[in-house]
Amino acid sequence: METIRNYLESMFAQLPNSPEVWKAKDELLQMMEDKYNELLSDGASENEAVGRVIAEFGNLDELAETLGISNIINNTQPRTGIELTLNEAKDYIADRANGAVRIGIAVLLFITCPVWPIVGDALQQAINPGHDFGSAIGACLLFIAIAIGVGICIYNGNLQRKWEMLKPGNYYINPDTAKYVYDENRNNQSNYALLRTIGIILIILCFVPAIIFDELTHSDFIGELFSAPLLFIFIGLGVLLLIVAGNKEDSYKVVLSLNDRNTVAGNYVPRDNKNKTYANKTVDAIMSVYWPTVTCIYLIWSFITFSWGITWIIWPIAAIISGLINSIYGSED
Amino acid sequence: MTEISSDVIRGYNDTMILYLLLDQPSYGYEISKQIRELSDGKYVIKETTLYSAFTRMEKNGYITSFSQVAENGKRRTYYRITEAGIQFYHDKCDEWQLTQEVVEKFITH
Repeated sequence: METIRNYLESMFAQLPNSPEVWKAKDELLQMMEDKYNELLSDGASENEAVGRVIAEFGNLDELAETLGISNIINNTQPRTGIELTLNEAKDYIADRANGAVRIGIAVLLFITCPVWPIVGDALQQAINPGHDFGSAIGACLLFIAIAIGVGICIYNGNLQRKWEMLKPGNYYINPDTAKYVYDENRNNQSNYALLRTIGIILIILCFVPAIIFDELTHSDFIGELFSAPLLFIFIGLGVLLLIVAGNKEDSYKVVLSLNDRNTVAGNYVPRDNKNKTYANKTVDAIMSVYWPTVTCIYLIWSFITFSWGITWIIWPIAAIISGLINSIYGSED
Repeated sequence: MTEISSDVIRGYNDTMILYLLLDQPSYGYEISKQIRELSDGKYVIKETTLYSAFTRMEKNGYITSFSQVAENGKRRTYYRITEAGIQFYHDKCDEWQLTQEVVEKFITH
């Protein structure tokens, strides 16, 4: 039966994603399944049954008029690109996941780089005040951390380059691959949600260690040694988790979006991948840089005021504004 | 062995389907099976042919479709003949009588 379903899927893969086409596909499958089951119960072997059902299926030309697809059937353009096999898709998803961890670690190194001078300075003050040796080592470590982070980014960029070709038009996926990736993505949804939640909680809680150490120790040394570094480490780990979750999810979307969503084969293309357009050109220009701008404002505000406990408020506000703009000016193509 | 040319029989697929629906509503595979049996296996209607006949006749108002859960628990589309369908069927029968009479005069046995 799997063979028959695949046969039908591939016959319909390039047809438009319309209700008429879906109805036809459903009902043809019903008929084929009935025939297949009856042949089996009459004692035919599975191969014979599949062979007969497919041989007696007929020709899509006959449906052209009914489905309003004559123009498509009569000048069938060959599907562009080459097939991305299931194994290649799995490789891509695994590579993206590894890449996300690398980028996450690099970002963690960037965010935590101020920790080194702080720790160096604190140790110096505690052990042998009066010298700048600790601060100097701390500053060196800061640059080393940044250098390692940049190195990781470049290395990762080179590793991921082989997947640059993975775009609609260059590649397509068959229904089995689409189904597999779609199910995987769905099964992983709760994991992403968990990663994101923990990430955001870490970022919001970044101040907690500072408060606790401040209250508990009354020692400048301990306070300086732990509170500020832990703040950066919390933020860094939080961002790492967000990057891992986001990349993993995005890799599934990239694979699923390879097929043209206007055809039956594109049935698995994620809905939110529909291009958002704005009727108003100015709004369109603003929205194209909206989220990067919000991120910049968030980081600048946070690092200038160091009020990480309150600056996160920018995200819900930005989301509400974005929602408002979408509902007023947005239209899906 | 001669086979039925699908070009020739095309005009009478509708007649066969409507005939099978006269007594009671039926569904795709059942109809294709009955056509094969009644024709002693000489005519096997293709699934695509059957489906396009269904949609065409439904559009013309000769049949209506409804969905029903079959014995095996699966949802199936059933078709029922309408008054217009019965009328059309009888017209087609008359047309065939005439066609057969005319063509017969040119056939040597």
